[in-house]
Amino acid sequence: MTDAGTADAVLVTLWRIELLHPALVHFPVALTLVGAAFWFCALAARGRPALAWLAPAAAALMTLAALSAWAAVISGGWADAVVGRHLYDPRVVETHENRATLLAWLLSVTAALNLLLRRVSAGATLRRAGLAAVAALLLVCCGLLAHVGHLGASLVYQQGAAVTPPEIH
Amino acid sequence: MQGMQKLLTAAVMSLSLLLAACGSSIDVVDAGTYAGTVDKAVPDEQEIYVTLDNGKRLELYFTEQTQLMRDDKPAQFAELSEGTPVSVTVSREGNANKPQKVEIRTR
Repeated sequence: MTDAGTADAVLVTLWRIELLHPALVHFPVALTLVGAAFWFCALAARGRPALAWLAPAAAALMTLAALSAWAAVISGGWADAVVGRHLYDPRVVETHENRATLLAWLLSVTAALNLLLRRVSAGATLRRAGLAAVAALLLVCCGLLAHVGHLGASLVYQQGAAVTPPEIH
Repeated sequence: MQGMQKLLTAAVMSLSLLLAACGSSIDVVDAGTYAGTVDKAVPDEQEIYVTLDNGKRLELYFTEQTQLMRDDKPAQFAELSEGTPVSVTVSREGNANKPQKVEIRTR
């Protein structure tokens, strides 16, 4: 580039529908991981009044994680409509979509089960089983999140998805 | 400690089963002509999913070069819907198949 005018001419706007997905997708990543960490800390800190805030905070974070996961799934569909036909390997985006949708369902079930356990009084055995189920689901969600995130990153850093508008390719 | 080990084992096994159950539903084939059936058509994106007679499933985005024919005459994308039998001629670019010609087969 020899002058500012030429540089301006090749810069493209960031206000593109396919860029809504990368803007939103980090919310479920952060909320799921922090929510799971809070939930396990709350479990370990049972009986300590000073840390009683951890459990409701974890419930709120897990609910927000589920909601933001659905926002990411919906915006991912919009992004796919723009960049899907230009990808080198469309199998990756298909796997990313399928597993992200599964993750959104799992996060929703986990958040709902956790809220149910907080609201409904259950017997000790049933409550223990419920807590074990939430713990297992959270671990599965975190593992699946890492996998889905890796696939999403590979779409950007290996296939250049949404890095530049398709017409520039 | 044993309880935690059981929990981790259950979580890892569940995740493995989930991933195995929802694998990629898109395949890639070598360039050539294949018979199959449309299992989804997306008019907005000019895109079809075709399940080939050999069981593989292709995702095909129409391009300006794609010919869509029925009885050796040009056809409209709207004529494609779930269950439409087609014969597709595809090229291969990277790990993506590009449709060169899609022929609607008469039953």
